[in-house]
Amino acid sequence: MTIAVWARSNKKVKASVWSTKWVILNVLLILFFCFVYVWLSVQNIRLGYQIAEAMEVQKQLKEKNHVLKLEWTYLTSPTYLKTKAEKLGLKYPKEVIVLQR
Amino acid sequence: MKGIKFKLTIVLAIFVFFTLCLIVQAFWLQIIDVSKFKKGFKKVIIPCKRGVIYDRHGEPLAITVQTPSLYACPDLIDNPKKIAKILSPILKIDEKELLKKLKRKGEFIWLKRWLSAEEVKKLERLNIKGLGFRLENRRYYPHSFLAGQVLGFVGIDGKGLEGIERKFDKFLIGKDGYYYGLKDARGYISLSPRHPIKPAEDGASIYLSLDYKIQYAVEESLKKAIKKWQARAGSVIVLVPQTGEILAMANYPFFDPNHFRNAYPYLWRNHAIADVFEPGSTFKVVLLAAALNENIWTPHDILYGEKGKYCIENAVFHDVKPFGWLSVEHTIIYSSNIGAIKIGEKIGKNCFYKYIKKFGFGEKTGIDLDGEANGLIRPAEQWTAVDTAAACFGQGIAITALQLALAYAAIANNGKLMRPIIVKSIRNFLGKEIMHFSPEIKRQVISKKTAFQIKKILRKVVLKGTGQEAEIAGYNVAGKTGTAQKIDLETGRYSPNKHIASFVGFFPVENPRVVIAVIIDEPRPVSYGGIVAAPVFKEIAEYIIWQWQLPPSSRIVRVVKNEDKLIKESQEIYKNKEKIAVSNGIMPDLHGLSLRQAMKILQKLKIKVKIKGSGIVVKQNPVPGTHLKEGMICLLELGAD
Repeated sequence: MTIAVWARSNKKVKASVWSTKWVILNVLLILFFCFVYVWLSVQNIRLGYQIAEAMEVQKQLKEKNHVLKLEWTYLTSPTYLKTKAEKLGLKYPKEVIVLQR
Repeated sequence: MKGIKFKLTIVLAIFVFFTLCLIVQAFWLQIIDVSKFKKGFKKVIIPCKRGVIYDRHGEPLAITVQTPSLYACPDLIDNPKKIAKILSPILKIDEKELLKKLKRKGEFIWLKRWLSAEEVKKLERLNIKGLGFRLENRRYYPHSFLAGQVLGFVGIDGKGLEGIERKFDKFLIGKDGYYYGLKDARGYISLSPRHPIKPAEDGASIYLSLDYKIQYAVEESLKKAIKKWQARAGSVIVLVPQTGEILAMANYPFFDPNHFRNAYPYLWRNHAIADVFEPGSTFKVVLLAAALNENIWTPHDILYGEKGKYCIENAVFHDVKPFGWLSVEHTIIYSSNIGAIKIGEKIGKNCFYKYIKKFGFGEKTGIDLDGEANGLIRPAEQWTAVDTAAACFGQGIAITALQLALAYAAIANNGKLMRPIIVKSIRNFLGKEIMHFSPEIKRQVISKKTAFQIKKILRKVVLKGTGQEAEIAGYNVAGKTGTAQKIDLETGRYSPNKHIASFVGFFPVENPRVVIAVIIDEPRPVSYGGIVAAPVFKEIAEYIIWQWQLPPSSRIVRVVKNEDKLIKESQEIYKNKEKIAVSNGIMPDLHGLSLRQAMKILQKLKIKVKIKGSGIVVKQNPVPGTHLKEGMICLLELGAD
């Protein structure tokens, strides 16, 4: 009889320990998923920053490319070169000169 | 011991409580209240760029870059009077005007759009509270005046208002992109993870058929002629007869699209397509085409020149020189008006009218530019005998310079009339071709045989007729001069001293590469097309010959200063090359040598030769410096000097 009481109480204890473990496990799982979710969100935001920054860099580079293209075209345009040449006192060539390569 | 345990439990409980609070708060923000966070994201526009306009070789003619503009926040400005006084000399705006803007109530007002780098530097140094810069897109035309009327310009809002900019606005404009972002406390932008990014699509790039180098040469020659002959205006068109591609289209006075507001709207017009004029003798070619194609006349048929005076219904027609008996050919060569009337009388007005229409006069050419004129050709039924006679030598009708150039192109192209091409292709922002404009034959105007006959006569015009000023040594140039009287708007009659001088021609006759039409409005004191316009043709043609390295049709004698010295130098170069080649066992540089000289060297080296073309060596394979091997074959490409 004594044995049976002990066994019963032991069973109760075992059950309560198991349910506590179950709860803790669930809580930990929830916490884990929450952590993963938050981590992913943080990563997402970080990537968002990086993309925004990259887009800005791309925009600036594209702009620079256009500015350089414009500058190159302007500096090599016949109108500009003629003005520069005239300022330097250059004249249209009137005699043919053969250059040895 | 018990007390310590209790205290520890309380501390732990507080920690647990706050941790739970943080978790709950995070849970609340990240999952429950996420919509509020999402709402914080704002749509940020990624502005697109207007497409670039290139010439046929990829040289940018119009390009968009960001330029700072100055704005003011009048509410933040303490002393508007003082600031207006400081800004006025820098911005070159009237002080009163600036003060008026600064005194206005509001948060934002533009003070000056599109500042220069110098202005920005000066303003940055001043660092005035309430003033700021904002970047705005600005259209630049790096070659300034070059093809101004063809390119057109865009307004301050970025919309095309004239020329190519207007016609192809829907391709050039592009599509703005966007993303959803949130600005944090540090001013950094974070992208929304839930919204997609739509990148901006820059406007398509337009590749014109224009060649900027030829365009420049054309504009320089035109400007020089206009100044020399104190003319009012002028137009030149250069086109490829086989394709209808326009290589250059210039109108003087020029205008700079970078500062379009400084020019009169009259200067924005592309006169070569939008304005009509009476062509004069250059139109006789149409009459000749009708006469020969219908077999009514042959080039050697004889007609009487009436000694320079011919009456039709009380109207007296004159020739510059009194001619007696003339052949049809000589009527064109010496540009006899009476001869032309006689040709016209025999073919009849209906037949002549039919050919005028066939050549494309009186209708739009179909060029991809706005504002093209039809020309003024009245129906043949309305023509009186005097009208018919006047039309025979290009008076009493009005055409555009482009129509005239295309008619000559049809003759050069064995009778095929082409649709003019100004835009070659359109490529999207990824560089993929979305539209291509291929050459299009409109119709066969005259037979190949007739075209050949006309070409022969036009060649004679340049050789011994009125167009001798257009002759280029070694090249078979063909063309026709024109000197048309202008109507005096005050009297409503033909003015005795206002003329339009013109020359339209092509070269080389055997395989025409370009057609050049030169129109000079009101030259003084001389007004003859052969004297005023033909030299412009020659100058442009010579430039094209040099630019394209076109071989001459026949042996030419080049007059070069210090010729003896040059011959001596070239002989020395040849000797040196020969020596180097034989001693080193390497392929010598044969560039610039004649075929005979090159063959002599290669024979000594026992190298077999393959020849392509004629002239001097312009390309060789194997390249100079290659070690010689047995059985080697050298390919020599010969071309013009």
